[in-house]
Amino acid sequence: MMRKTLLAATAAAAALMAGNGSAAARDLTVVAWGGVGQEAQRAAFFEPYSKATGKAVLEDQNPVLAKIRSMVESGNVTWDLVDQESAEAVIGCEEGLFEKIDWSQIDRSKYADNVHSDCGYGFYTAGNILAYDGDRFPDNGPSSWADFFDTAKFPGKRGLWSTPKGALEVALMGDGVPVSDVYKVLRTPEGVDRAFAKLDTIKDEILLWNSGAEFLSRLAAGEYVMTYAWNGRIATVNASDKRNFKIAWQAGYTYVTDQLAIVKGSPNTAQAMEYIKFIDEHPELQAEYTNRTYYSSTSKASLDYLTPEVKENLPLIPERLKYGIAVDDEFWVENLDSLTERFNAWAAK
Amino acid sequence: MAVFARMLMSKGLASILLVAPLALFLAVFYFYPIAAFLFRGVSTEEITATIPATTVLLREWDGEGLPPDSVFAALVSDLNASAQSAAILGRRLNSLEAGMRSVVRKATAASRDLVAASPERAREGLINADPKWGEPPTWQLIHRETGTLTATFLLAAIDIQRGADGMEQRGEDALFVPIFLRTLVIAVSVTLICICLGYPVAWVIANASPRASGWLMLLLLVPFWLSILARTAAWVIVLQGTGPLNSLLMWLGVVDAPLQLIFNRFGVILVMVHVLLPFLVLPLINAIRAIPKSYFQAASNLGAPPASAFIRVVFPLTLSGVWAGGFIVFILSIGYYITPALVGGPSDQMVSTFIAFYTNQSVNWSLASALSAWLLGGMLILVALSQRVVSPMIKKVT
Repeated sequence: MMRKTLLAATAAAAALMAGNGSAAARDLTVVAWGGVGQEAQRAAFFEPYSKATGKAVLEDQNPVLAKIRSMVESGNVTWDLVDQESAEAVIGCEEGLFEKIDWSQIDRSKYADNVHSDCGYGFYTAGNILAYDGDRFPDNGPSSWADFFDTAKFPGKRGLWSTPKGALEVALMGDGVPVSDVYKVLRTPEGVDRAFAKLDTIKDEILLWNSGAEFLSRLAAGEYVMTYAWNGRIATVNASDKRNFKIAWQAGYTYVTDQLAIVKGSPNTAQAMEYIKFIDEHPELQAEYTNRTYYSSTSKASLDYLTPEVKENLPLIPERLKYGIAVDDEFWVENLDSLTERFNAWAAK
Repeated sequence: MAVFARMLMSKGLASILLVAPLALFLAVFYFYPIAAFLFRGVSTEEITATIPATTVLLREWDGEGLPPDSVFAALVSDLNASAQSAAILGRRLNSLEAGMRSVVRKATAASRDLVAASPERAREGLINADPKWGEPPTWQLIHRETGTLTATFLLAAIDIQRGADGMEQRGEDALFVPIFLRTLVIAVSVTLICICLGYPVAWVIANASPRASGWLMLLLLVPFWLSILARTAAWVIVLQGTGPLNSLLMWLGVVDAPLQLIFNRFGVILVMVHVLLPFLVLPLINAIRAIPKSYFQAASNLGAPPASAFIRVVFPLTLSGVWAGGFIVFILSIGYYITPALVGGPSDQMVSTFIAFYTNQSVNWSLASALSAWLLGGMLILVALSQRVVSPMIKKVT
């Protein structure tokens, strides 16, 4: 009996080790953030890439930096390419979590400015915007971040993402800081205090969200009178769920580029680079992604393939850019930890 | 412990061998990982591993003024050895003092040109890169965090900030102490409400006919088998502003505008009570069933009216069941974080939310482990208290 169990255990252990061994030869694994974005990446990139090269692409979700850190440190790297916001791509690059991208293979002049970083190939830009339900406010809906802070004019709960990144910028805009000066003000200690003081004025009416699904369902249920949101999730849910959500672009918005980064120690670094090259060489696929998500594509050539309806709902169109400002990666790389702590303390009170 | 030892003496080797596999399993897969995680709360290894040479020299330094030039030179060579380590050092120091990330980054950049420089040049070069390297508090911070053990995180977890001029209790911006208190308040409220709601339910089930009690048990347990996420989501739908409950209240004219029933403390406690109620009811049913029916009759025969028979005879006998169930509910609710995250507002989050935050998001495992240590410590004290104080009291009553 004892021997039999022991044998079984040995066999199981052997099978487990064999499994680990073959992991080195696994398929390219690309990790995104789930939801509509991931579906769009599947249709626009994973499937065409597999078709063109005959190589399968595996998927996973939620590539948080913490998990990448533990993978790299333990040497058990199961992800190859991860979708990171630019600030995280920079932090991870500094900490040696990502491989440097071989930029000699890619012509950066074919892209919008400042979308790439040493370790990150920027492939779409999202807008962080003010959204509300057009059925609730057919006209005279909120049109500025000042409205966001005006609970007399618009009673009800407001949604903010549970991170200071974005919330502080919005607070300053609501306090009358022009969008182009937001980071100039935020870089001073008084500016940070001013942002928190502004948030404090509607503390009881703020309800934080943690995911795109959360702000969509709360907006749909009328729980939120308005919310800070990602433009793509708002635009896509209008189409898929027959909603009439509106985006107040003119209120001011920040935008952030998502980049593909190759995880250090990945057994598939060459193939990961091949995948990036594949996207680079196919601007029509980037356009496909944008047409599905309403997030701006980064390559200039892709603009020719966009549908007019999508084009006018993107964060990076020229006539809109005067309302927007790029999220300041340098500021957030430096201050994310300390401001997150302060933000948590503020929220938890 | 004493019980364990006595058992070993009396039953001998066989019993040791019988429990050995389980003990070994628990030690390897349970106690060791917990201990290792908790150790991170006092360990300095995350920092010392990034600057090994500097650490050795700093441990000999007395902490007065600026360290000797040799320490500057050691830091230069450490920063040069690995860009990754330098970045980790920056992140770790930045979590202790805002702004240190760029101070370290500038030093890392400068150190590339200082590799072969003399110690004096190393010192000048680093101070040139950022004047902070010429200020004693910067070095005292690194000195403190490269000792054998550090209390920084355990103190930070109870809002005590360690700075250049000693310790300072955070007043206005205190974070964790209010959250620990809030966690306690929520857990106690949930437990008391569970007892008030669960006692009659347990009483009815225990005294019903076998057939009826079978059905009642089923009703009690069905929600128990559903995923906690599904149950919580269901509550969101019921309680939201446009949900059925608010619609009903408004239709009846009880309220004019929708009541805020969710994303606040009310919602958190309501959903937690719903989820945890079976944990109280099940042990209580057993306790009530264990009381012979004749006790109640005996009390009545001796002239006690039903109420007083219940209060003076039956209720004391169920106290152990109330205690057992209440204790389970309390312990479980102390660690809750999914429910507050889904149905609570920002000011209803409990300690576990922050442990999860520091583990998964901000990757400050030292602080996460320090918070866990306080939570676990508090819990162990409560367990010990219940063993010492409350259990004998109940025994005395019964």
